[in-house]
Amino acid sequence: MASRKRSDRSITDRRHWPDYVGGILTETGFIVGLTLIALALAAIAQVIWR
Amino acid sequence: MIVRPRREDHLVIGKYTGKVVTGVGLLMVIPLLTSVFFGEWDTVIDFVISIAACLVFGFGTQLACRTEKDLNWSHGLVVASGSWGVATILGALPHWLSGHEGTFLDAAFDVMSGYTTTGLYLLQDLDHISHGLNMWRHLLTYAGGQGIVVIALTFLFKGTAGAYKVYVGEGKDERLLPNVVQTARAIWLVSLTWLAIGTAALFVTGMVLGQDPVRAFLHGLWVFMGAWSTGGFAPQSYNTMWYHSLSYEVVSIVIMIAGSFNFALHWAVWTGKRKEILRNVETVSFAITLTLTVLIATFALARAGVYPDAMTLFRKAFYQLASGHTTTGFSTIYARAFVTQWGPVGLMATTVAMAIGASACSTAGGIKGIRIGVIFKAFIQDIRRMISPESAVVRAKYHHVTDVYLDDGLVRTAMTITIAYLAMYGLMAIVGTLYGYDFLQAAFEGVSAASNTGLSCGVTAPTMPAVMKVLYIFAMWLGRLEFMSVFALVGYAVSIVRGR
Repeated sequence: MASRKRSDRSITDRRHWPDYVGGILTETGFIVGLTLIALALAAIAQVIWR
Repeated sequence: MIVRPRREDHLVIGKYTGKVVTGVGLLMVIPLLTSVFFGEWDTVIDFVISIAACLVFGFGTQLACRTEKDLNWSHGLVVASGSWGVATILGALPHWLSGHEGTFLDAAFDVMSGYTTTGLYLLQDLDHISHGLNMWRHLLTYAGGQGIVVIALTFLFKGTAGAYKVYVGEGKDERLLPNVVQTARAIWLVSLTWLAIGTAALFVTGMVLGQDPVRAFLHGLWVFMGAWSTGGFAPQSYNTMWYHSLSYEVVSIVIMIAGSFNFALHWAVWTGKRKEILRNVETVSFAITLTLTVLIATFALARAGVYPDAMTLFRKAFYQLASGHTTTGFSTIYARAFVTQWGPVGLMATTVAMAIGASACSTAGGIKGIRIGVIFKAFIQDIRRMISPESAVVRAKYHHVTDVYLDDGLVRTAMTITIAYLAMYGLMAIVGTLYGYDFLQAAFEGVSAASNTGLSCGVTAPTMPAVMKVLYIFAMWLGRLEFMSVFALVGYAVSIVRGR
């Protein structure tokens, strides 16, 4: 019943927005994680070939 | 036997192509208003002429091709590829009329590059073009990233059953929601939300860097469009190097990687399936191949002592590889410096990243992570099958929103498209080499065009041979639409001539 109600709502309904914001933060977190791995690789490379 | 298309087939294809081209004409109203706002009257006239051409063609075709028949699969594929071709020719009018293009072919090259979110360009004196034309360039790439058919689906197709077939023809085959028009709207919701957030972040960064508010807003909007669509157009000829800013680079990296995600992944994560981002075959494949290519380039550059410290090394290497792998094409390195400083290892790492590309059903190009994941899983499955007892049943699965078991059909499809991409990359490299370019550079530039990336090592220029410009246009078109719909268009043309 709950899922039926949810699908009946418009996708722009403001009750969806906390979920959407959570999704954006999750995506950003994943990308920041990849960025930090690259930063760590650069630091290691610089230490090895200094 | 080849069956000649009937009159009804021509009518339905003409009708829906007309609708898409009408949509392109309506899209031109935004750069027109931009030019009016800034008092760029020459550009206003260019856009009035171009809008008129699109609307005359669009409405004229719809009027001439009135039919109640709905689209079938082959119609959908032909409409998708055909409308991209017509939209390129008519969309090139503002470029050509601006006087910034050497020839109409150059203008068509730039527009196809925009629609296909490639980012290579032949436009001259980019730093002095009007705001209206700059808006059009970036809007092209944003609209192309969404899929111009998605735009037409949202506003012009009114939910016909055949609409899904055109949507698939444009290289997007995921249904986020049960209805294809709802799916198109969900794609818009994701894109427009990121547009608001990304533009605001770049606007604030630009203001902090000392740009005046209007310039900070326009640059924020345009760089967002270039990043999100993985297009790589930027308002300055120095591309994103023009900003010399770590914060601008970080914000644009976040936007371009987010833009390279599958819209189905966005929708899953946005609707509560947070762990999907760590389990999805495309994000896992992307994370592994990006890290590996960054590792190779970073170690090669550190060994050669190209950059003085770890932070500079990180900024240059990660930006270039992330831009290449997401098929964006933003760069913070001069094209020639890239060739001379990065050397063959760096060039190869970036070429591999571009060739693989990012996610299916996203704004990105290339072979795509899902195909790499499927082929890898099939490879492992075959090895397991070889070392297992004959009676053992070996099954493999991958995760993409739901668990999907591998079957021969899936693997064959992934292999077919991958081989088609590899053949095209090879062809581009051979033709470039035959025209006198260094093989590695010809391969790099060819892969960049065919994977819709747009990074350049200097091959793409107004002086390049016309044959190569035409070949690049076709490569960008084929790469973006993933071959099948362009082949359907060719088949349609052949059946008109040779069918019975």
